[in-house]
Amino acid sequence: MKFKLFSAVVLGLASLVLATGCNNKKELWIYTSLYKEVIAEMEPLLKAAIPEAEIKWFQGGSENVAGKVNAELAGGKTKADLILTSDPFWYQELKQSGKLLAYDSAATKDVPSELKDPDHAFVTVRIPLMVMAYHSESLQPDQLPKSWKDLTLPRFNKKLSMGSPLESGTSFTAVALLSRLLGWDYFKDLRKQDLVAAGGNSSVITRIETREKILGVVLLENILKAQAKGSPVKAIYPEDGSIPVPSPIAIMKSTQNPEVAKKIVDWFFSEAAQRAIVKGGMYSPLDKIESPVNAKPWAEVKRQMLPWNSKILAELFSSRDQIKTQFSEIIAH
Amino acid sequence: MSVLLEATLRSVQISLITAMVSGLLGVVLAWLVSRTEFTSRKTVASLLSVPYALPPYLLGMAWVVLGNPTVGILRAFLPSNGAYGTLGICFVLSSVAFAFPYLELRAGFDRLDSSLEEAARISGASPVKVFRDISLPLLWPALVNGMCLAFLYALASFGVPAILGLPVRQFVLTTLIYSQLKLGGQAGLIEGFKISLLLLTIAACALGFSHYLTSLKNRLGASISGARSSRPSRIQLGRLAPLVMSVTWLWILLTLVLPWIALTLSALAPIAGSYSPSTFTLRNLSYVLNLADFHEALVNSAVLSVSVASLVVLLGFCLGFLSVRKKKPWASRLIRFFGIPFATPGTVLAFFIIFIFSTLARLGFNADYPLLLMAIAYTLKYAAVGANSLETAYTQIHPSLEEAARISGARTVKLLSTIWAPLLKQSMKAAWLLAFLPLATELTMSVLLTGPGSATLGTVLFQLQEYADQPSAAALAWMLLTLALVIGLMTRKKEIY
Repeated sequence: MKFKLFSAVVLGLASLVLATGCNNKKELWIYTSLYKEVIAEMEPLLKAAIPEAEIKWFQGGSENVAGKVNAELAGGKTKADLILTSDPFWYQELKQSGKLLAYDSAATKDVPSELKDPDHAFVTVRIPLMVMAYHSESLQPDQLPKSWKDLTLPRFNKKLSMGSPLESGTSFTAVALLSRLLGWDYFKDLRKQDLVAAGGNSSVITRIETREKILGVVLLENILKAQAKGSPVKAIYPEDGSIPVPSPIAIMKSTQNPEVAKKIVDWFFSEAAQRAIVKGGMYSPLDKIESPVNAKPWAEVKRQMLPWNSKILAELFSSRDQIKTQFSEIIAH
Repeated sequence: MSVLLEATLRSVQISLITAMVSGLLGVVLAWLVSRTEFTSRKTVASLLSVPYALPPYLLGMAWVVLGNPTVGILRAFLPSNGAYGTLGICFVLSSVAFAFPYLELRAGFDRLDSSLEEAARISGASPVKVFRDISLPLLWPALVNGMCLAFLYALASFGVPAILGLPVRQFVLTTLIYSQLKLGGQAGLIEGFKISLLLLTIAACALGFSHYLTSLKNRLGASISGARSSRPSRIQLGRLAPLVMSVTWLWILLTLVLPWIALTLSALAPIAGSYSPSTFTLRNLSYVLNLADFHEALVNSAVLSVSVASLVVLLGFCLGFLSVRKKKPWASRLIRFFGIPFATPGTVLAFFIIFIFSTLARLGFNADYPLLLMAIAYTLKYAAVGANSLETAYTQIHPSLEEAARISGARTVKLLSTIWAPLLKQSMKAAWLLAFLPLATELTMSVLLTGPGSATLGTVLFQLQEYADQPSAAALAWMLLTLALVIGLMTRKKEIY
């Protein structure tokens, strides 16, 4: 019995060590919150474009990627060479603590300046969009909210949900920009509506689909994906402005292969890479790339979109903790 | 009332209720299964050990469907909050945590010399009196230990209070730590650290208290001889049988069957919440089955959980021996110490491990293999399960057996292989399952420690829930639940009686 156990342990641990294996080729890690489908689409393309290096992906939610990198950095060293998540504020933080490698890529010359860090530490590579979503069989077209402000109308009481800004970076950006637009009284009104703020974006979609909460604040890409499966969830682009979540790409200063990393950044702005992103339901920062299928064209969206630039980013960044605390106090407790 | 105080009280309240309910259920169910006879007893026995195989967040997911206050099928039978809130959390946690006292007590009943009970019964004692005066005192350490594990389990649980508590703004300490860590910034980190210490203090108190309770009865000289003379004669329940059976089956229905049905329907639904049979689809299942990550996760989870569970049992076997039989104080202290990582929320534990290994990497010692880190985290977290239950089991073996063997000239190795290993087999099996089953689907720590090539079943499920949609997540959850059922039913065949 004991011997059997012992050999099982030894075998198990040995296979663990073997499983990790070894490789001589230059190895680069991309830590990202991109969807698996998008990565699957990109992987062979990137491999063909940059054959000299072995590029590995670590995928997780924005917050988990940030958590992993932060913990690794706290210990002194991160394995990530490039990071690509949807929380712009985290990049501001990394930049200020000198963890990012500045790179002014020629491939990004068509990206509007408000979507670039002035010091070239990071640049927007995709733009997820926060909008409102509703259950199309439970709400008549004439009852729909038209703006963020409408969500405080009595008829939407107990019908609202959103992701938690503590758990999802995109929800945080939404809260930050909405509080800037409408003030904290808006959230106090939402609290009176019994707004549920929990989980990530797909939890919001699930709550709408099951009719637990038929109205939600959610990413457009989640709505498009649900629709492709035949879901009755539909999008509303609010009149007072959809919320952009400019999601950057950046190179870590600690990378051993800065030249390859720069080539990867360039590649992410190629048409092939940008198309893969758009296929995932996000907008491209490049005007020449078409908008996602079944989504409002970018040109129209831009006309009704909350403003974004590096000044706003810096301003919201400096009050980041305050925004989270304020939100927790009003909504969560 | 401050949020922290409220969360502390709620954590303690939930853990206490869960421990009490689990203890009560564990005693009653283990007694019914081990000492009475009723139709379908063997099926009940194996079904009751199944819930433990389930990560409680799976049951939480199922209960959000079943007990949703707006749309759940069972909402009419539930309070206004539905399955959300403290009561729902206690219920879901108990439906898993009762397995701690249940499995401990069943192993205890197996070691218990049933001739003691029979002697009392022949002398005219009623079954209740036999249980109260004979079985319970002898099984005391197993019960206390099982309840203590249930308490710690509830205290450190994160998934269930997150799924069922946060939507109604009810925080417990673990979710509060999580939200403080997520608040970010230095202040959040320090606050989170403080709450972690508070959580550890509560856990340490619980451990100390359980240690005190166990030693209390040890002084009374209760121990179990290993000589199991004959198979126990079982009590016929007679008139009570239908009542007992229906209550037992209702429990199984609520904790196993209904969640399983809920997940099945969710897995078949083309979109969340549309449960009409005409639209059912296998799309979600085939999507999961064809996922490359799923294949990878299957291998990783199997290797990790089997080797760590074996390691933990082996460790418990050795430490229990050193602590109880060799009276080594360091061994018993080490066993107490394992209670700390067990009671620590996985999130905090994982953070510390990442931190330590990054520091090592900076010093030139690179051991940053996610699978290795997970193995270490799992071992730390579950060492208490093996060590505590085997230590308890050692204390229940009467020293006379060992002395007899020693007098006959047996050395330590011989003693281990001829006395303890056979007598402890049942406890070792129980402890192995107690470690293996939750590890196979571990989520909280894995999600932070995972890296490329080291997906586990838990992380894939989490990915699906976060990035895909509820039906795909439900499809994987359904597979795991079904697998657990199969394992539960298979272990039943191996039972001798």
